[in-house]
Amino acid sequence: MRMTEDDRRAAGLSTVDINVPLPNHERMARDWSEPVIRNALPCDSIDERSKSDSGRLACWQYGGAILVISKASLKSAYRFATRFRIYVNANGGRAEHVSALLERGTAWCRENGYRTAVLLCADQPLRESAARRAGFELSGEVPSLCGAEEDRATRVLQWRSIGWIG
Amino acid sequence: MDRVIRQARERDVPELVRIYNQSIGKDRYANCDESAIDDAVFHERYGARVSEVELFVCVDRMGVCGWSGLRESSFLPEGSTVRELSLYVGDSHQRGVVGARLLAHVIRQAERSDVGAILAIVFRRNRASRRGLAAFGFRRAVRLREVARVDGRWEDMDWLVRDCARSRQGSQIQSRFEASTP
Repeated sequence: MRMTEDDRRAAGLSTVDINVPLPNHERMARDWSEPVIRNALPCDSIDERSKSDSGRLACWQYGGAILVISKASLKSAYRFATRFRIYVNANGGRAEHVSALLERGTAWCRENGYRTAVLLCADQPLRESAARRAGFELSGEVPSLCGAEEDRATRVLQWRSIGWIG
Repeated sequence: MDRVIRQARERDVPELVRIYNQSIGKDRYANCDESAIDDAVFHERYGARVSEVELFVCVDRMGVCGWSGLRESSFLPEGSTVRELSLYVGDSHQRGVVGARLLAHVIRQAERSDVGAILAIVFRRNRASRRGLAAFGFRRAVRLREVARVDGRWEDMDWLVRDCARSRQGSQIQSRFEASTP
C-alpha cells in the first residue's frame, strides 16, 4: 500500500523524496531501532512498486535512517549512475546514521561498477552536511513547487567515484 | 495545409516513436536512450492513453513533424508541480520553426495549468538545444558531471528550468514569437 503524507507523519517519518513507497509500518517499527547496517532482505521487497522504483538496486537501514539505491534512470546512457534516497525517522534519525549509510552506499557503488550517485535534499541541512562528508558535491537546485506555503528548492548533490575505470 | 499543433491521439503513437527514435544514434546528443524504443516502451513512459496526457503534435499535410510533452519527473518529489519536458522534431524539420512552435505551445499550456516550472534535461554539449531553450526563458539550474555514457564518452547533463508561475500572467516571449511565425 502506498503511504500517504499523513501516514508518514503518523509513523514519525520525514522523507527527502516520497516517490518510493516505504516498507510497511509494522516492520519499520520493529526494525527501526536496529543499530546495524544490513543488506536489504527479501522482506524489504515493495509489493506495489512505483515506476520510479522499478530500478531498485540495494537498501540498508542504520538506526533511524534507511538508504534506498536505485538506477538514476532506465535509459541506457545512465547505466553507471544511481539515485540515492534517504528516509529518516524524525525522532531517531541522526547525522551519523545518514553519514554511515551514504558511505556504505558509495562503497557499494564502487564495488558494483557504478560511477556516480545523485541525491536530492529539500532544505535538510543535516542530510546535506552528511552527504558532503560522504563526498557528495552540490550540482545545483531546482524549485520544488509543491504548493507549500514556504516552498523550498530541492538541492541536487552528486557523488562521483574517483579513479573509476570504465 | 498549414502546420497545426494539437493534442496527441492514440493513432499518432507510431509516428511519435519514429521521430523519437530519430534522436538516437551516433553523434546525436538529444537522447539518453542508445537503442530504439517501441510503442510499448513509449506507453510505459508517457502513459497508456496519450490522448489523456500533456502530449502535443505538430502536423502538416505530410503528417507529424514533431511532438512535445510534459510529464512528472522521476527525479523530483511526488507532488512537485515541476514537469519534465520532452521535445522531438523529425529529421526533415530540424532547421525550421517546428521545435520553437512546439516549445512555445507547451509553455503556454503549462502557464494555463498549475505547472510551477518546466525542467529540461539536455546534454551539456548540445549547444543548439541549450540556446533554443534559453531563448524561451530556461536557465541552467543543475549540472551533473559525467553522469551519462554515450558512444564511449562521459557526458555532463544540464538541467534547465523555466519558471511558469511567475510568467503565468502572460508570456511576452511566446506571444512575440507566435505573432511572427506562420
